[in-house]
Amino acid sequence: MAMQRSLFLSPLAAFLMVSAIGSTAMAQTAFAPAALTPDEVGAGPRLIYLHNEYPSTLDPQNTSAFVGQLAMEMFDTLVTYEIDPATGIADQTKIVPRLAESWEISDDNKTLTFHLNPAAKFWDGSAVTAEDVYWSIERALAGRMGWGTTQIETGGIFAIDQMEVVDPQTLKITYPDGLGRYSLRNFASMSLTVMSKAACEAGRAAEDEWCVDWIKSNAMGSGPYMLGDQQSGEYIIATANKEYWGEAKPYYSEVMFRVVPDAQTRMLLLESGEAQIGFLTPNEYSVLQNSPNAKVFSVPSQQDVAVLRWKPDVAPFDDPKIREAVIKAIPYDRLIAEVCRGFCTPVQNLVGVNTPGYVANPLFTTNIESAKALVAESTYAGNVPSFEVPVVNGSTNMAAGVIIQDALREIGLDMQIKPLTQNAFDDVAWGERDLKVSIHSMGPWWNDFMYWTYWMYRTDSATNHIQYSNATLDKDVLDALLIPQEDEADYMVLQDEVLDILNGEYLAAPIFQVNWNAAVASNICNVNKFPWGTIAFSWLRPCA
Amino acid sequence: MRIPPLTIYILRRVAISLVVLVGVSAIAFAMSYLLPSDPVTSRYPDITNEQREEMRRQMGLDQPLVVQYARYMESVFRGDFGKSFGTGNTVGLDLAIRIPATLELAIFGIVFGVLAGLPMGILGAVYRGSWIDHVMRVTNLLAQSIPAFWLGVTLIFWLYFQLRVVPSPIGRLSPMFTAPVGNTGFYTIDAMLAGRWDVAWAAFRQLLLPAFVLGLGVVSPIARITRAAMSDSLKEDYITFGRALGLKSRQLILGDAFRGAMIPIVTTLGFIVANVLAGAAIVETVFAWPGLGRYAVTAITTSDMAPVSTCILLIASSVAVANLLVDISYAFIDPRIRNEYAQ
Amino acid sequence: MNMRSEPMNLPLPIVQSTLRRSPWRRIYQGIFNGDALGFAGAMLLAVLLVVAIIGPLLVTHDPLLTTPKTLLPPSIEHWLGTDHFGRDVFSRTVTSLRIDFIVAGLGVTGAIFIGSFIGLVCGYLGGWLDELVMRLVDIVQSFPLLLIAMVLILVMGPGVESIVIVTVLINIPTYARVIRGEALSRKTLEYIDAARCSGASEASILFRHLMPNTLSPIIVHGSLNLAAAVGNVAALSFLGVGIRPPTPDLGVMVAEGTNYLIQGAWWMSIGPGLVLAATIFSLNLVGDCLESRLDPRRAEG
Repeated sequence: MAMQRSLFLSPLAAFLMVSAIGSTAMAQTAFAPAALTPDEVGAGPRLIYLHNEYPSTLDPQNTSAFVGQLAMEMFDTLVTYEIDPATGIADQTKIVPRLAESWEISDDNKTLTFHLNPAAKFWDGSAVTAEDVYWSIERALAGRMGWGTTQIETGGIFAIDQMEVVDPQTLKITYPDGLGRYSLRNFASMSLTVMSKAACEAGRAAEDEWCVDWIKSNAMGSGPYMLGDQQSGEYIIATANKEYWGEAKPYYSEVMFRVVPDAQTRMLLLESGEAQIGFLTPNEYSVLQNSPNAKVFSVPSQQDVAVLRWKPDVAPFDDPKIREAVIKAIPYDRLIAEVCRGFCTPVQNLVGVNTPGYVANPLFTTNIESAKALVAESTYAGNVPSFEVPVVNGSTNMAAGVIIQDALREIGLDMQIKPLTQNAFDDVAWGERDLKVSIHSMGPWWNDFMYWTYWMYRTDSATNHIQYSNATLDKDVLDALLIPQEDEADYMVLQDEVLDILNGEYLAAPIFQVNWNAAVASNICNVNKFPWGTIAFSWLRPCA
Repeated sequence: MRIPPLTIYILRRVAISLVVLVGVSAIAFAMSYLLPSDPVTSRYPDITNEQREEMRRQMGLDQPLVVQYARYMESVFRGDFGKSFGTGNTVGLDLAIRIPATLELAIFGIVFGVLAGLPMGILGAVYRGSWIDHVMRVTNLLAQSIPAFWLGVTLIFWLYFQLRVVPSPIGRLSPMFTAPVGNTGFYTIDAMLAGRWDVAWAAFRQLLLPAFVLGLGVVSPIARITRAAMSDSLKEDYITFGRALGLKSRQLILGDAFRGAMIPIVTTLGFIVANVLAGAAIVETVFAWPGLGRYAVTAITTSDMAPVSTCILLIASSVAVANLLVDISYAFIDPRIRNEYAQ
Repeated sequence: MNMRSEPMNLPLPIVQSTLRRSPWRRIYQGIFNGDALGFAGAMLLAVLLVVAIIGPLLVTHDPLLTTPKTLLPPSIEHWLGTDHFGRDVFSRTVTSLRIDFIVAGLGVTGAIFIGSFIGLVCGYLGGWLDELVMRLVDIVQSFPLLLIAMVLILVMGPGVESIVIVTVLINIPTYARVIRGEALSRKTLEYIDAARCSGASEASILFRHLMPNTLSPIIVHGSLNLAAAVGNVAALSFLGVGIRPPTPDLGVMVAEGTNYLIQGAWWMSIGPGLVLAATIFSLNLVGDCLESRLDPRRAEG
């Protein structure tokens, strides 16, 4: 399939595409935080951040959204991403210093050496040393922390002996197979944040070797916000670290992470000005964008393409005509308008619109007549077996399911929706990996189609809920992850091959690209967005 | 030696309650066990089946059901209710925060229910058969018929979103305030003890709507039982006698007849406790109230086993104990019951 | 609103008006004993039942059809407006009423059959079986039944069948207890002795003589129970363990509607909410009336 491609749609362009939603948003998103005088640090009012649930731990290895948000304030990473001043979006491919003031990669591309900033101090005043960095990574690898450990491994660190503390300010990491596509940029992720070894050792119980229990309600980091009061189930307060050593000095004196389970209530609090930051559902965003007290940010997330996908060997999807008919019957425009209320992005490929290699594929266009014709031509004509789609009750995917169900009814297909609780769904999807047909979206750590495919389609991968298996695809995704960032052309060859398999055999319909949305009080500026959907609070400033 | 019949009755009633409690604990445990999915799967999605089995073994999930139940009961007796996967705390710690929240709400709700239900019942009894009686009857049936969740959200829409006369429905306290520190766990009382009248007022305002919706659920039973009991006691001889003596009817109704009717009203306690705890699940969900009911609902929908069994056990035991107390107090009041056991 | 609805002792005024009775008047007097409220409740219930039965003739639109015309306010075309999927709220409300009556009705009927049988046998036979079953009933009745229902539905999977089964299960104890009490109090009465003396078998006494006499408490409890069951189906849907979409259900409609209330789409939840409240209210009213009418012993307290 020969395709004309736009190599990389810049975040700015991507933003422009959706900024039509709220035309006033443009002026407010410029990112240019003023430097603070010493008196201004931590002098601002309290910020209230609304979240739907209380975290079970403060451990940055537990990569839930809440913990991620808090962890990125409390703990520093070795490096971070440069924020695009035009959009406020941090670019994963542009690495700038944070704890490490510099780093070098050896000529054979096998060692990475970090030099820590000697000014870096934990909240208790002790220095951040290479020993703390080493220990924080050791903790994740030896303690097997679930997703956090997995993320460290995607950067190519599998064993503790790959790391070496050269001196208190220098850490050397060896990669036997060479640095991969994600080795350096991974050091800006929350799984590679640094915490104080000494504080943990002093605070933990004897049997709690890796401070797993200690960190449920304690923390000692070096970040711009410090852990304050906590009321289990209700709130956690982060207070400004007035002595913060780094560049991102906090203005707001406190951030209260307030648990408000109901999205409507969160919306009401933002609308009335009682709270300042919150994540909602499309329905509430569509109300809030007209409020004078709040503004809504909505940008396409990285490669988070929601798909309707199926196991190609279960009836009726074992007939390619039916697969193509389903793709043609889906009312893509209506899903954007009615399910997302405009807070997601139309996408005509499995590749995200802001992901390298995106090109619109006309296959993914609604055409009911041709869908009907395809059903008539299929072996199941006039007698298509019913199929079931498990979804999480009340989710956006369920709403999408209802619209798709109705559209498929029109071409004579009976799709049954099975609403499940999140846990029951997880059990079928992750535990048994036994979804025959599923509506699924997954935000990958890296804005890469091949990385997404690695998780969604590689044999035995955790999010390959439909147990798809294809030898060529398995090989290609693994090879692609080891291609250095610079060799974009080689990478694209593999990406095309994989796309040919998935689209050529009609294996999924991309129903929309999930947006990263956030509601912020209209008097707060310099709103920024890091990968994995976190906002750096320390950069927030009142609007001039 | 002759054992007093009342003692026999109480012993027997306590023994029955113990049997009920054992059954309750078994079912509570079975409930949590039945829930779909285990706690390992979605938290550690990328582990192998062997690792998953190992983790299940460490949690004791591979043991026979009876063994798990025995272990569960043993730890319950030690005061250890297990750990919540959702909050990361021990269930005991979670409940220590949530029980006062539910109690504070329930007490305000019951107070409202009684304040509304008693006069309705008294009016109904005094004006039996008149239009006042009919109005009271329709009102309390209506109170019982409106679904709590619909009423809750509709009230939020009108009173908060449209008219702004009540504070935002986000649980016990607006985020503008920090929770008062105190021993009772009741925000209103703790704040007053700490001299923070502004916080106490704010906490009280938060309580108004949810307590109203929760209390509405018990208005009807209280009004009905009051009406019936008052009707009976208004027929008693001493009231008729009082009337004949020319005593003022207000004094007769509110003083003597009402005192006579108090006993049957108080004995509906068990029913009201059960009712309020059941209603709390809905009301707390609507008003984001961080109490026992919402804790249980969240635990059920997230298959969080320890909190599910503990909450069910706790609620069922309080209902069983309330019923026991009611039955015993009946025995003290009504000699016929204890005489049944006199032989 | 609550899982249990125990009939309370409630004496009602007995208004006698024997003058000039038309046949309609006699029915009114005979059944409702001059209780205008009970009559009004029965009329309301009758209207709702008729709507439910002839529902398919009343609907103006396909209740499942989604359209791009979402969240439209009430109009000539859409009497109760449209929902977030552009479906006609009126048509869905009418269809829901039908489904909810069927679900709650099946559930309560099932509970009546099983519970009454258990109660009858226990009350008549007595002994250890009675003791055992009644302790089980105690256990089940002390549970927060809404939570138990949630767990059971999650275990069985979502769907209409699960809700019916759960409704049956949680209501069995009510009937077992009430009917046992009836059987217990009647088995020593003269007419039972008379039947026994005339050589009737135990089974025949149980089912031919005892059972018909338990009908009044069953009817009273049945209507109150039905009210509670309709409310519970809705509450369960609200808590997120309800019926599979796109099946319309009043609880789901109210729950979904509340999500759109704040953006002004009040019509999504007001219609279904009122119909839900009216259904429960009419059932409660009828139950309340029947209670005092059919069970004079209770009424006299």
